[in-house]
Amino acid sequence: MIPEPQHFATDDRPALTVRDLRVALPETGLLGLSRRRVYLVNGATFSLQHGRTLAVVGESGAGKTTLARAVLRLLPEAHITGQVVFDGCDVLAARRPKMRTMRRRMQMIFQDPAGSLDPRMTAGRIVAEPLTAHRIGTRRQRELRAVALLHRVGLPPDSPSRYPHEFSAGQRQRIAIARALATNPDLIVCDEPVSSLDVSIRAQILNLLKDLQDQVHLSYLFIAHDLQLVQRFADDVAVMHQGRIVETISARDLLTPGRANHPCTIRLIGSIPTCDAVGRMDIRPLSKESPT
Amino acid sequence: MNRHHTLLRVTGLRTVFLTASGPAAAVDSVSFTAQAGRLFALVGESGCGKSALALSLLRLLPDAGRVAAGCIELNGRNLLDLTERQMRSVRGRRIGMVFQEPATALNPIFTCGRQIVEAIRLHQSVGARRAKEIAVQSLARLGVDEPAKRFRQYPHELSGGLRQRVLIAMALAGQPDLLIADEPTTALDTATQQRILDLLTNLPSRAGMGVVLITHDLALVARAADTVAVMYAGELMEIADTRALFAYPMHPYTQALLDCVRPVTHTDARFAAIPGCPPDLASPPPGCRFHPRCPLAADNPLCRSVHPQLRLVAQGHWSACLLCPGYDHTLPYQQTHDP
Amino acid sequence: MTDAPCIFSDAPPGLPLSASPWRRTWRKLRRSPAAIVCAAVIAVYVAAAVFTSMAIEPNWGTSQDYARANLPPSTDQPFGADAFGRSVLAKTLLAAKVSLTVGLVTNVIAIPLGLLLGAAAGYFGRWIDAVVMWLVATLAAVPGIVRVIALKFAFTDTVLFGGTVFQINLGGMAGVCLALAMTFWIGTCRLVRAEALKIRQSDYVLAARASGRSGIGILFTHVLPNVMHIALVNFSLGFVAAVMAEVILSYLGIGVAVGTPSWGSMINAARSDLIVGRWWELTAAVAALSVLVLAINVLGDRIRDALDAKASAP
Repeated sequence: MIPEPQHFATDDRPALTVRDLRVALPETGLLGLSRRRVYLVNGATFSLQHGRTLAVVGESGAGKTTLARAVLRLLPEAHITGQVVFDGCDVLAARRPKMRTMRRRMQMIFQDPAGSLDPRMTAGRIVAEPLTAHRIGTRRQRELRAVALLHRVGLPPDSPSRYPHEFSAGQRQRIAIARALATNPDLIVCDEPVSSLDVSIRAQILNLLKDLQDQVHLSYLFIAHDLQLVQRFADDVAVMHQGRIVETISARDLLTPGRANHPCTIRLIGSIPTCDAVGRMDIRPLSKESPT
Repeated sequence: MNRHHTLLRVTGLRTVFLTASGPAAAVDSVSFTAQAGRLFALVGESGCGKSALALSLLRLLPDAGRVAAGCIELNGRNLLDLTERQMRSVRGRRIGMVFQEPATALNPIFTCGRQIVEAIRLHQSVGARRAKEIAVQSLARLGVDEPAKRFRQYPHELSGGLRQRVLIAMALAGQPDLLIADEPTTALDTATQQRILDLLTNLPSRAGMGVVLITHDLALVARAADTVAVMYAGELMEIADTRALFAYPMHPYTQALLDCVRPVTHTDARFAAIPGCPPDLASPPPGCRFHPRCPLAADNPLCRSVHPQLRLVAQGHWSACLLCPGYDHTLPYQQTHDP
Repeated sequence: MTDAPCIFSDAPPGLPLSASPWRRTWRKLRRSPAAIVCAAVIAVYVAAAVFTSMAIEPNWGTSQDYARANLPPSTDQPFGADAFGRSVLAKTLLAAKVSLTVGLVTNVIAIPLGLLLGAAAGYFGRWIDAVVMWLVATLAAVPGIVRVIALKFAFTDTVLFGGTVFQINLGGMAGVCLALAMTFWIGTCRLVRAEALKIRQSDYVLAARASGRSGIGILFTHVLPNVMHIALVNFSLGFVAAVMAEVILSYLGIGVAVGTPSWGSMINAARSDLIVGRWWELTAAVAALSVLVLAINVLGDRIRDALDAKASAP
C-alpha cells in the first residue's frame, strides 16, 4: 500500500532536466488588456542527477523561488514556456491525472516553517496529508506512517497530537520535511529551508537532510542565498541572476580562487562574512573543593 | 566628554513573563555596559531573551511581561524610575530602535517618506518641507539610490534591504545617542546583509553614537562589533572584545556557536550543530543552564549543581563557566570597561 | 557532538496537552466573568422559553380572563395583565421562545450558506467568485428591511411539502426565518471571502497543492477550518440582528402569525395603550429584549477577544 522507494539501476539518466524555462506573470494594463509581460525566469537550463544536490543561488529578486515553483507546476496563473522533464515525463505538458501521480514523487519544503503548516491541524495530520491526498493506505496505516516519519526526523513521540505553535522553528521545519517524505518522493525542492532559522539550528536541519539523502536516495533542488552553506551542502551550484542561470559550477570549485568566472558569482563570493582566527577554549580541570 | 564614555549601564536586570507554565525569567541578572562610539553585539539563539532585553531597555514590554529587578542607566539616569511620559521623551530621542521584521514594522498604507517625516517631526520642531529635506538626506546617507523617488514609494514597492534602511532612517530621526538594532539582517540575502551591517558599523565612528546589535549569527559580528556578549537562556554567558572572543573563547556555548560558523575547508564533513534545544525559561535546569547540552558537563558534576555567575577571567573578558581558567566564583562581579 | 534523531523531548515540559486553537479559546472564555454571566443569562432565557412553551403555551389561546383584563402590576401578576387578561409575564416569556427560535434558525441557515459560498468564492476565484459576488451585489443593492419585507410577503402563501407531515407554512415563523436568512448570509459571505483570499496565498495551501490535494479537498481541510472563527463571531452578531429584525417585523404586523405572542407585537399594542396609561406590557417587552440583546452582545465581544491570537495573556 505505502509505496516503497524505487532504486534505479542506472543513475546516468538525470532526475530532472530543465530546458530554456521562461516564467512570466501576467500583467494587466488598462481595461484588462494584457500588457507586456515581465519575465521572472528568463531562459533557465540545468539538470539534476539522481541522489545529488543542485543548489540555485543568487540575490533576492533573481527569480529563484519562481523557478522552484514553476518546476513543480505550482503557478497556474503564470505563463510558462520551456521544458521540464522529470524522470522522462514532461511536467508542463502532463494532463491532470498524470500530474497528480507525478506529484507523489516531487515534493517541496518552504522557507517559512510556520507559514507552511496549517495552524489548525496536528502534526500527525499534516504529515499524513499527502497520503490522504493520494488515497494511499487506510486511515490507521497513514497514522502509523506519520508517527514513523516524525520519529525519523527526530521529533519526540508525543508530536503527532501537537499543534504547530507548540513547536520551535527548527522543529516545525522537521515536520515539513516529514511531510515531504510521506509519499517517498525522488525529488525534493527546498526553497531556502534554513534561511529563517538560527545558525545552530540550521546545522541540525542540514545534517538531517543530508542523512535522508543518503538513506532514501533523494535528489535536492536547493534554493539558497548563503554561499558558504551551499558550498558544503550541495554537489553542484547554479548561479542565477535576473532570471537567467549565468554559471554552473561544482560546489568543490566554488570557493577555489580563480574557478568562478561570472561577475555575479564573484560578487556573491565576496559577500560571505569571514571570521578570522577562530580559536578553541582552554579548559581548567576542576579542583576538589567547590568554588563557592 | 570622553569619546567612548559609558552610555548605557545595565545592572542585574531581570524581566519576567507570565506564561501558561508559570512565570518565566526571560532576562535574568543581566549586566553590561555600552559605550558611545562603539558597537556592542548581543548574540544568542532564538528564545534566549535578547528581544525581551531590548524591549526592557525601552520599557515596551507587552502586558504579560514586567521588569522585576535591576537598573538601566542611560547617561547616569535610571530609566526604570521614569514615568511613562518621561520615558516617551527618551524613546526615539535618546534611544532609537530598529525592529526585527522590516515587512511588518512599516505601515503599508503610508509612503516611506511620510513615515520618516513623521518620526522627524516628532523629535525635531521643523516644518514639513524641512523635514522632507532631512528625510531625503538621511536616506542618501544610508546609501539609498534615488532617495527622492524612494521617498514617495510605499513599503511593498521596496526590497527588504531598502525597507530596512527606511527603518534605520526612522530610528535615527531623533538623533539618538544609542541605537538598538534587533536582528536587522534576518530575512535578507547575504549581500544585502553585509551592506546593512556596514551601515550600522559606520554609525559609531561617524556619528559618535553607541550601537547595540542583537543577532543570532556570530559570523556577522566578527568584523562589525567592538564588544560581543553571548546570551543563553536569559543569562549572559560571556562578554569580551570581539577579537578576544573569537580567538580565545572562554565558554563552551560560545565555542559551540563558533563551531557552527567556522569556515571549514573540506566539504564532506557534517555541519557542527548543538544538540537539543534551549530550555524552558519557566523551569530552567539546575546549576549551569547550558549543562544539558554542554559537552564538558558530562565529566563535571559541579556544573549540575552550581549556578555560575559572570566573572572577570581576563583583561576585559568575562565568563560564566566554572571550567574556565581564571574563573573565581568568590570574586564580586565588577563592571569596569575603561577604554 | 552528535545530533542523531534527538529522542529527548524538545517540547518544554509541563505544557498543557492538546492545546488546540479552539481549546485555548475556550479556556480564555471560561476565565472571563462577563462571559460566564452573560451565558448564564442566555441560559435562563432558554430555560424560561422551554418551560413556558411546555407549561403555558398549550392553553394560551383559551386562557382569557376578562375579569382581570388590563390590570396594572400587582402581587399575583407581577407584570400586570394584557387586554385579554392573560399574564404579561407569561406572555413575555412565551415571546422569548419566538425570538430565540428566530435568532437560532435564521443563523443556522445564513451562516453555513455564507461560509460555503464565501470560502468557495475566495479560494477558487474566477467564475465562482464572479457569480457569488454578482449575487451579493444584487441582493445588497436593495436596502435591508425592504428586502426582508418583500421576501416575507413573497412567502406569505407558500407552503413547503404541503399535505405531508413535514409541512412548513412559510407564512409564519418559518417565513420570517427564511426571509432574514436570505439577507444575513451576505455579511458572512463577504468576510469569509476576504479571509479565504488571504488563505489562498499561504504556504500551507501551496504545500497541499504540491502534495496533490484537489481543490475541494483543500477547501474543506484548510480553508473552512481557518475561517470558522468568523462564523462564530457572526453568529453572535447575527443572533442579535435577527431578534431585532423579528421585533420590527412583528411591530409592522408582518412578523409571526397573529396568535403567537411576540415582543414586537407587544410593543405595537403599546402604541394605543400608552395613551391611556397602560405601560406594563411595553416595559416588559422592552426590558426582556434589552437584557437578551445586551447579554448576547457582551458574550459575542468576549468570544471575539478570546479568539484574538495575539492577546497578552496565554
